[in-house]
Amino acid sequence: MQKLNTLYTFLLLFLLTASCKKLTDVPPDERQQRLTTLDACQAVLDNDMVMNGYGNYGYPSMPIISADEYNPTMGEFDSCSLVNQQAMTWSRTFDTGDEFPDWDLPYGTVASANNVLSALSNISQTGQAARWQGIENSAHLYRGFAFYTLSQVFSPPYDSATARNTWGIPLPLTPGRNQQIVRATVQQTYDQILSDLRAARNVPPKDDNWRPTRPSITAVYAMLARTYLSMRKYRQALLYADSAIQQQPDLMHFDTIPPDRIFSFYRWNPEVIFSAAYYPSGPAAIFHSHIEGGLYSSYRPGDLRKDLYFKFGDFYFGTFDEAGYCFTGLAVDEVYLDRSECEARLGNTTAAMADLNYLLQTRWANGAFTPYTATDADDALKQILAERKKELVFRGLRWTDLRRLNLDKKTQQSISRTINGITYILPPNDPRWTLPIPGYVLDFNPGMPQNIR
Amino acid sequence: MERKFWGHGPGKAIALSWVCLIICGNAIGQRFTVTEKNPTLRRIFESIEEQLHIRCDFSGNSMTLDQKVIGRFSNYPLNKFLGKDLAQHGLRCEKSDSSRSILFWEVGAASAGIPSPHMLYHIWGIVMRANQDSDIVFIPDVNVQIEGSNITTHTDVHGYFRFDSVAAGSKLVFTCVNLDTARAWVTDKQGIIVRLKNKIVNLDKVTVTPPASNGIIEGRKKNLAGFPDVINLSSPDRTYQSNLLNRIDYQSSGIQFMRNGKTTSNDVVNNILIRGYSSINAGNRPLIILDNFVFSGDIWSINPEDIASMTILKDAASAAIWGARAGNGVIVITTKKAKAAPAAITATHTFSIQGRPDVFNYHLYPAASQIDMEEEAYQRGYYDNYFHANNNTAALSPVISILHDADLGLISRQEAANRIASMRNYDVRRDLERYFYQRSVEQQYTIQISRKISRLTYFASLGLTRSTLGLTGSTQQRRTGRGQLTYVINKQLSLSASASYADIDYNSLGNPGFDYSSPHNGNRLPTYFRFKDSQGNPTPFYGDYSQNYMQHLVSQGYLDATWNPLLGLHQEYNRQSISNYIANLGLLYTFHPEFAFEIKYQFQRQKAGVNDFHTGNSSYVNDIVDQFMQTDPATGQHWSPIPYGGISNIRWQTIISNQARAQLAYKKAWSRTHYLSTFGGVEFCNIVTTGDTSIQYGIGNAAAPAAINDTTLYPLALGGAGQFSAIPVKAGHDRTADRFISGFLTSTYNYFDRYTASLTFREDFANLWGAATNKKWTPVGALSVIWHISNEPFYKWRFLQQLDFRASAGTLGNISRQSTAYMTISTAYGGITGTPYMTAYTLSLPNENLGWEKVTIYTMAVDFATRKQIIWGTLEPYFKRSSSLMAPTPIDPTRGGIQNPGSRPYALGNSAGMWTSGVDLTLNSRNLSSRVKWLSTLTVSTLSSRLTHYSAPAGMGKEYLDPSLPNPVLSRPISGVYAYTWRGLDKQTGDPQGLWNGQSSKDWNTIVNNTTLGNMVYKGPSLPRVFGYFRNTFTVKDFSLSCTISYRLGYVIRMPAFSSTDQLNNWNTYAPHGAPWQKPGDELHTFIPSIDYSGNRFRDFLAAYSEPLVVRADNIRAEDVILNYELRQLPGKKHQYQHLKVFAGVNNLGPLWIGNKFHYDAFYPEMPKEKARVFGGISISF
Repeated sequence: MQKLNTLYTFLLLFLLTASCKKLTDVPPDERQQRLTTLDACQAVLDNDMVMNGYGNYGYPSMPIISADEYNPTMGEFDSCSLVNQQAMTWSRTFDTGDEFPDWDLPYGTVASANNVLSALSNISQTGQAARWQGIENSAHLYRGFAFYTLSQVFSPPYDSATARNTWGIPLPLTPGRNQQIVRATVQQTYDQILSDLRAARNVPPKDDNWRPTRPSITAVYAMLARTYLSMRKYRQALLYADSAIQQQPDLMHFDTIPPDRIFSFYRWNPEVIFSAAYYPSGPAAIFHSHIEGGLYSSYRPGDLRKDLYFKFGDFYFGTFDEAGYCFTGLAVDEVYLDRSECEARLGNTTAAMADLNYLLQTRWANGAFTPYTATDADDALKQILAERKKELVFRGLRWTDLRRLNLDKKTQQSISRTINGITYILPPNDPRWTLPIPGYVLDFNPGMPQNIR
Repeated sequence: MERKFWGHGPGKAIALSWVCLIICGNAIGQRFTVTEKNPTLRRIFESIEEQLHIRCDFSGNSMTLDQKVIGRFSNYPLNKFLGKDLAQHGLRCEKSDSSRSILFWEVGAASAGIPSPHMLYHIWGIVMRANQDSDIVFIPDVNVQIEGSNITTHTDVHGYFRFDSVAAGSKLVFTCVNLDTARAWVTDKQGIIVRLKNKIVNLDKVTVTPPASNGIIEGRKKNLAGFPDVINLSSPDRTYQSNLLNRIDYQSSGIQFMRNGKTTSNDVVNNILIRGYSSINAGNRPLIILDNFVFSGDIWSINPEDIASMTILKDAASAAIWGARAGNGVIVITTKKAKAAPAAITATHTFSIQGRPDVFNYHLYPAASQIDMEEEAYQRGYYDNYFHANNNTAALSPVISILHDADLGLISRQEAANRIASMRNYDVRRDLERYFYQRSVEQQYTIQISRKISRLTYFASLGLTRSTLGLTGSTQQRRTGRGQLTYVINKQLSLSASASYADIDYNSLGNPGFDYSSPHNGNRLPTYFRFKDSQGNPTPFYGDYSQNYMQHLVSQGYLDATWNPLLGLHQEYNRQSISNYIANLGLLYTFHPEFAFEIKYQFQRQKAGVNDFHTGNSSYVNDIVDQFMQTDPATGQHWSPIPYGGISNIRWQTIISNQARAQLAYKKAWSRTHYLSTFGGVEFCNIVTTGDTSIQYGIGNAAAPAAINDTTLYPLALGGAGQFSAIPVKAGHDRTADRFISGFLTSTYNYFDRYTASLTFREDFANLWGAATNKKWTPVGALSVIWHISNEPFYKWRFLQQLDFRASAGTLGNISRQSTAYMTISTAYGGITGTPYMTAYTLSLPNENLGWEKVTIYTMAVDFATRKQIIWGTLEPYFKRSSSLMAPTPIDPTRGGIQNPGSRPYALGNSAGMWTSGVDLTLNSRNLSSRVKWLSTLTVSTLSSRLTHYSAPAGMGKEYLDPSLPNPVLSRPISGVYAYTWRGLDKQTGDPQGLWNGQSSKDWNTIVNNTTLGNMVYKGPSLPRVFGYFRNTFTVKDFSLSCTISYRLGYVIRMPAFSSTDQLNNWNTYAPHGAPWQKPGDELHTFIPSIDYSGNRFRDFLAAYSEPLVVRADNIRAEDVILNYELRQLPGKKHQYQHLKVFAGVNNLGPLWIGNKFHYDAFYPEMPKEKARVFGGISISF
């Protein structure tokens, strides 16, 4: 009898086992959703914190902190964290401590994009192919953008001669814990960035609801231009810059912008192509650093940027954000400068100067601007690079520009900073133009090569 | 009334011999009459019982009863019948001591005679009700005792009992509450059917031990797997407590109520620890089972008077039947059920009164010292930047405000000096005590009825509890109702149903008590603050904005947002209401004497609403309106998008649970030696919790818009200048679900009453979302064995009459809801930048190895009792290994997963482990058992615990300073308290000195922020390592007096510290012990640093978290003294009542000893101390 009883019980349990899995596959918390729908995937990409760097997230701020656009006072320097002080002085020892947002946060963006791409592979395209493709393409743009920002900090500048023999950054392309994290070569790194950007060509067209936190085809072109420029591939850069301008040619005229606002520019002003913000840290935060003296004085009378970009004296407030997030995204002015530079590099002095003047006349008070002229392409380039520095100040682009310009003897330069009476100098092509991989990443991945410093 | 007191129905078939028992009332010595001539013995016995009310018990062959007795018995003397006539029929008899019953047995050559006393018998029997009608009702929980010994057993749910070795000739005594006591001889016949009659009068006081229950099976402790611990609710102690769970305190060993003053009495469930912590992050709340199902509502909704029994399952074998949720132990609550008889109405009233809390236990820096300090700081220019940089908007403490006004020439210096001088003797605690605290009173009323009508028995109860609490304006009220009925359809089938409801209201006013602080700056009331000025007007408290600034704002058209403690009291009404409904249905089908099939179902719904209402003129509303005040650029007029009128913060929460279980029971005894009981079943449980929150504006303002525009970003005025915000609406909805499908099987086997073994097995499928099936499907199981060594034939040690060894081992589970196997997201609209998009946030990273937390418990125990039960008790060591505990593991951020910049990314995984061991000892001794009875009970519980696996790296020491968090450190208990190394005060300056790089250091910033955990000093656990209670009960006749002392040893507590920055910036600080360092030499006898005017918070922080402030928290407390009077109706006397109980007492008598020299009481850390509570009550049954 007892045996029978036990047998019945086990039989009952066995039958239940089959249905149990289904019955218990409900989320314990309704807020918990899985990435199983296109809506969910789109929502992950629309997280402007992780994907665009707003809130307490952000893309790397080291390109600001390491560059030459500001000069800290003694007190400002002292109040900075150790990591930032090391970056400000290009210290040979570079300890990132337990966490380093410049590494961790963009890889968070990469992981989100990877999650979406992986989830999409389990979602049917039937009946929603266009939307599916649009989301898939968008994910590629975010990932390409994140890889690019990482490569500007942790990978040496692109030099086609050495790119196959130098270490770039790890390129995780799938989610999950099981993939191996290894450093790719510089060539592979840039190939991946370009391939991600190219894979984003079918991002959905803008609709009425569109905000620049979402990718657009303009963003894809502008980002390709930015990437090719950093690779010193001027033909391709010109091509994509031109394409971007075709899509979104309008510039704001700074005459129309009231000078009494603290933040002169709105987050979604017409020049913004793609919104992205860098992580506010140390001097790379609004109201935290005095602009470098020479740069500040290079804005001549009549140049409206001096009053719109800088407030309370020489503090930078020119970010494209009324709440003070630090803009490092893509904007039309940058693309004009890209195209202008490429034209100059390719010897088209007239076209180069036309672009430069077209941009600058919107930056000056009405009627105050006298168009620049150039004797030759080199002269044009010199003027364009000078204006590029002034126009794109504190956008996080200067560091990349310096890195690539250094690869050319004609344009290379040392940068220096004097703090507390000590002058620190970073000569061109020094290994310190590339930051080391955070120590904890090496701990997680034994055998991963470190950057020389 | 026909008395069918002998063999009947199926019982007769089993019975080999039997005993019949009938009620008797009056003393012996009278005559009886039998109408017919030559009656049978049976008829004579009936007549004796009917006429003389003397019970006739017969042991022997029932055929004997059909013998005719020759003669006529008219007005026949009983003594004559007993003396002469019986002998003629080969019968003998013995009168009971009370002469209210006579036991007859056969003599002579027949085997049914009194057996030889040298033989040991294995016997068993069934106790059933001797009913007027023909229903068979088995009686569970009848106490069966071998007369003259302490060997007892109880009948199980089916009325079954057994003894494995009883000397022939022993007499068995059957006692049960409400039923008459019966006796039976032990013969060589093992099957005994005993029929018990309803008790008409209470002849004896019967000790009632309620039945044990593991929540699924109810019965005698012995018949359940493992070692359930039954709480004796009939003990008078603490019966006034309106919270049920408080009644288990000081009733069982190994259970701790964590008391740190921060918990309210209704929150007690989260502060019960059964044998220490089992989990790091999944919570340590024990599982509460009410009437066979998991209870997920507010525990206060249960009226304690409705509870019949409580059982605590601490070991693996007893709790294993609850499987994956039983890791923290189980508290099983069983409500009162309908009783067959007698019909009774019970009314109960209890009350308790507790004095106003002692606010002076809250140590404040004295007013005079505060004023001196502020004046000094003012002179030193500490506040200068307040006046200049902030444009005179910054809030100033009253003294600084006066000093500043004098400097500005607004008042004369003399006036300022006078005002300040008058403040020196104030003490804000006097006002706090007067206006914020009150006496608390609680009254409870319960009326219950229990009846049987034909086949229907029912029980109904109504209860009302009203309390005023210690904070002025705080009240709570509970209305409960419960009904339960059982309907016997036929011999095999019975139905039961119950329904209960509870309505709870908590009300409070805008009274934060001693914790009063301004909402934005967190400024606290200075000691010299008074609630009313000398004219008797309520005093405003300018804690957020200066008086001048506020006056300026009001003149500009802003509302007056000044806080005023007294006015504020009636500007906020907080109401919480809870309604709870539970319905149960059950069906019992006994289709075979050995099988029973049972189906149970429960529905529970609890709806709880919280409404925090601020009146339209309150500072709270004015403050929010002002924050959002906009200026019309055209007209310069102010307007606020927040409508004027009251504001309500509302939260609703609904819990709906559906639970069902089907189970099959099997029970069999084989001849003399084996007894097997098996239960198996399946269970479904679905608990869904939904919540809604909202804020409503403009209440009482007819002009207020119906809907609030919550999308527009407004620039904030006042303190938030430069920021933008939308109007908060907090509209939210959440929903959680706990779903389980489980199967269980438990079997208990007993051999000769010498060995008992039980095996329990359960498997739970839960919505561990996305977990691999083999991880969801974790079977848990446990085994226990008991060796009743004193029942062995070879056991001869008379001194220790009873000696049992027990052991159990098994694995239980715990569920952590912190992670799922999927990457999960939650969505919200707008993002940071205010896009029109729905955005998703990562809630959890996939925990690819998601599974249960496992708790494996090994328990051993010895139960012993000396001869005559002078000393008895239990020693129970246990070891508990928690594994697969949910814990964070750092991950490579390159793979993603960063949640917050500034903290290392981690993933939750079932990775940590913990080891806990302890001993629970319970000792009882009967010191006096004459007219005055004196019983002592002592419990000693030890507890030690450490983390055995924890892969997250140790953080900085400062992360381990909050005692309320689990502080997971490898090889240490998670309740560890850590402190900075203390190097004394600087001899010259009185500065605190810590340790840095092996040297005394005053680099406070560095020490505070960079001291690693390894360099912190471990001071001990914040949980007692040894604890227990000692109770003495004296009984004289119907009176009993009991007093309880409790103790907790081997733990530490951190005292709050004096802080210069708190005093200067937040206007108040603690001053628990002594004065700050003042001059060289003071460092020898104080560790309070000198007063510091540099505003260095790290200096204060180091001093506050250094070694000297962590002190031993050990304490011994007088818990209660209770006097109890209990009277049952005596035979022969007529009372209006059946049962009367009156009790009175006092509890929370306070500490007798505290193990630190500061007399710092860990029960009331820097908060008002609760006073002793006087209580009393009466319970009467009709």
